[in-house]
Amino acid sequence: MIPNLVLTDLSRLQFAFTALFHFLFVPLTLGLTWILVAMEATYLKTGNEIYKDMTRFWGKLLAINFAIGVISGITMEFEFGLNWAYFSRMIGGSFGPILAIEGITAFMLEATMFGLFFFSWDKLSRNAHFVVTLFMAIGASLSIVNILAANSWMQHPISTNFDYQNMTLQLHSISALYLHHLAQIRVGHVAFAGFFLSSVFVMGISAYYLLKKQDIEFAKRSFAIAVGFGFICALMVAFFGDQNGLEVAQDEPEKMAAIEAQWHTPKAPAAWYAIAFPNQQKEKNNFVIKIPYALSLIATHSLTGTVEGMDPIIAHYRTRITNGIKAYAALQKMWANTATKTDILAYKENVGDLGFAYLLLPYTNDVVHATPAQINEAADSGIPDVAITFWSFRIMIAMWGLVLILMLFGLTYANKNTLEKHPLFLRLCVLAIPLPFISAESGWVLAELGRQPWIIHDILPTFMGISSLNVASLITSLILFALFYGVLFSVELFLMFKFARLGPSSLHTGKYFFER
Amino acid sequence: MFEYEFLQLAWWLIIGGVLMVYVGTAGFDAGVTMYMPFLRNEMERRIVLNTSAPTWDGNLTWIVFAGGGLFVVWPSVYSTAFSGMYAAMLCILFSLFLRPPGYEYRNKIDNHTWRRTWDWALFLSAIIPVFVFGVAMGNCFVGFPYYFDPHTYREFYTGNFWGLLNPYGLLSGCVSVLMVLMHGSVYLQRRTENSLRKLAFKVHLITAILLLMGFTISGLWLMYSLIGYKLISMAADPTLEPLKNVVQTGAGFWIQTYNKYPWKYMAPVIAYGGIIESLWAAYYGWYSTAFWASCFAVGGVVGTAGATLFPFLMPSSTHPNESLTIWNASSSQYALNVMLYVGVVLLIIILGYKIFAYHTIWGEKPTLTADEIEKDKHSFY
Repeated sequence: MIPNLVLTDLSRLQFAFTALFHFLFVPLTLGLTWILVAMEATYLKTGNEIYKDMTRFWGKLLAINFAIGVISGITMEFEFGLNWAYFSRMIGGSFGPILAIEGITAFMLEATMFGLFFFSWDKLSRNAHFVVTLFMAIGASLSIVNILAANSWMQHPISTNFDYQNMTLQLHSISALYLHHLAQIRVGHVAFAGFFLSSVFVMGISAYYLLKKQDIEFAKRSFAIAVGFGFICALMVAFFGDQNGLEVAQDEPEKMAAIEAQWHTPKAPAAWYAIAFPNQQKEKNNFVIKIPYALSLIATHSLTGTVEGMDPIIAHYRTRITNGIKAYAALQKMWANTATKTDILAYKENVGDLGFAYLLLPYTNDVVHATPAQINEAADSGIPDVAITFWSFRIMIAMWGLVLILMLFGLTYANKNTLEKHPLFLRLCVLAIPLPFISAESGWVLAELGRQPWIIHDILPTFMGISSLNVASLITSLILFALFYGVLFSVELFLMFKFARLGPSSLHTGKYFFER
Repeated sequence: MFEYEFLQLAWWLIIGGVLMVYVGTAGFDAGVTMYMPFLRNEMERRIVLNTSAPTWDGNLTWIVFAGGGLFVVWPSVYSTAFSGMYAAMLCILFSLFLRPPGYEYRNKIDNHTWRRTWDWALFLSAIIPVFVFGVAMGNCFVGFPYYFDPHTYREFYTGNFWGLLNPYGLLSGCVSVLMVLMHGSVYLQRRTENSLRKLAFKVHLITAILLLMGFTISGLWLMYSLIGYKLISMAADPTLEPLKNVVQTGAGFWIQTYNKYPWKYMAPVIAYGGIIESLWAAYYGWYSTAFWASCFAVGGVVGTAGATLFPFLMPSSTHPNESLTIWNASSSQYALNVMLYVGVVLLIIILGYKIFAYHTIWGEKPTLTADEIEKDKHSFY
């Protein structure tokens, strides 16, 4: 019965689908709220009504986006219980608090202020309304802080003890999860990615107005705010991404090796594979294009450092699996109340590797007497899917790079006030809107597929975390999710395009293009 | 650090309180949107929608608080309930999907079919979750068919969705819908004028009477016929050995616990009092009083369910000894303790800005009229 790998794959597919869907809306909310803050602050300072209209118009697009963001977000909270019951039961006392704090602090604040943002323009003073907008943005950003703190704990669990008596992971310091180095870096990375993405969204739509020659003043100002904000964020997202890479190399060497498709530890200074076609079964790359020295520079910031290849990592897994078996055997005896002092000692010594023994379960039910061949298979399964990890990293970087180039031009043109004279550039800006979304989605794929086969790194394999459901109900729910999300997404896109095309005329102030 | 038992009790009270607030706030949103498909003209529909539009998002968020709280405080209840009642939970989730777009998108296009479609979407997104939550609550009294692996504590749920639709579950579902519709009607009387207010009073009167009947019947059912559960003893450290309860079952056991814990009588008394007071106040036109009375009624009904179950959370019908109670299902002492500090501080902050939000929207004028919507028809939903 356990592990049921089909069920695991379906549960993962459903989670990936719903999380990736949710992540189409999150970064935009995250960044757009701060862009609204910037616009409304300008309105406060200058008193120019055009900035109020800007805030209100981009707020309208935010609302269209937010509706689906809320839906897909509630799904995520349900899904831990729906599909990952064993995981949820085990980690409720460790990862649960952060998730709960997210709901209480971030989402509650954001949702309450969101309603006020739209309905209190005439009811609050200008300053008070600005505060509402500000808190809406703070609420959205707090969300990312908590979610990334929780997720970073899954990538690198700290401050937790495993209690075999009731099979739970117990937290001993909640602040440690927030002060976690990895968490802080990733909060920065994802938050700035959201700001970056939203800037490109505003840039692209403003460029469309400039192309169509509708509401030029409105569009130029929106463009300028977005490109300035976006450029800084593009640099910040890269800085935090780079720092994140250093952490990954240290704490999750298998992910790093997969990202770089390094099957054997290369000698320093190592070359970076710009393109490679990894073959997981033969444990080699079919084709590579190398850039000498680059890998050492990227991954270790030095010419003498190198990246651990998959060979030694697999060997390391073998040792840890062998140790894990000792803990596993002792645990069986402790459950049966037949454990001797030596067993308890063996358990205590090897409990850190207990999770590795579970990796054997797909290959044998008799973990205690696993053959070397089975141990080898289990050790090989410790490496994530190399091709996906490798390419998602490169897609993420490539999309970011393309947009960065565009932003450099945008800065120059906006500075010289010659935006309208470059129709090709403006067209490219419109076409660039999806690029950061692709980049963000790839980042998620990289982080989460790169963590496999673990749901909690080094502690619990993913196939252990699932609910005891049957395949039929999962297939049904997956189809229903696809249907619901498909329809809702179509409606969302339809409205988004309609209102983006209409521009500030949709505010019905009588001042803008389609109303004149 | 606080004592473990104190924390377990405190969290039972907090989660119960949050559930009451959820039903008391998102409840009136659900109640008013149940009117949407049945109102004759567009202006009335817009008035009804806009009485809840500014704050519905924040109200719905209480479910996230309750869900997150459940996750931290009683992880095994969260995981067993959500994975066990897989189809029912998805039913709630999918119908909730229609809610945010119903509010945000309805007014974005001025087309009759478009708007009527969203009216029905809003109706379904109100009535389905309310009904299914009620059914699930009712099944807490019946018990759920689940058991745990004795060592790994993996849970196995042996029932299915149709098993939830037993007579007692269905009755609870109906009580839940009646309660929410009554609450929404009281809210509508407070926030509208003239014809809508009159209509809402009629619905209020009918639903309140039906609710009184339904609530009483379910109580009598518990007293005389439904098989209840009684916790006789448990392990010395129930969180370490959660499956070692001794639980007895028998007809009327649920109500018998009222003799052991007389404080439980408070809840149904408040429920009855609230319902009657809300009718009385509405009759005399004291709409604020009626609304608050209705809040107490809703809190009383939810509280009655929770109190009657105490100390159970989710009894197991097939393996009663493995039932989840507030003693064996709770998280570690550290988690409960930390979350108590965080939760209490945040609750106070939340209360502050919620009051600010409601005051901003309704402080100057407690009702919404057609003129106001006409004047600002592009901003309203």
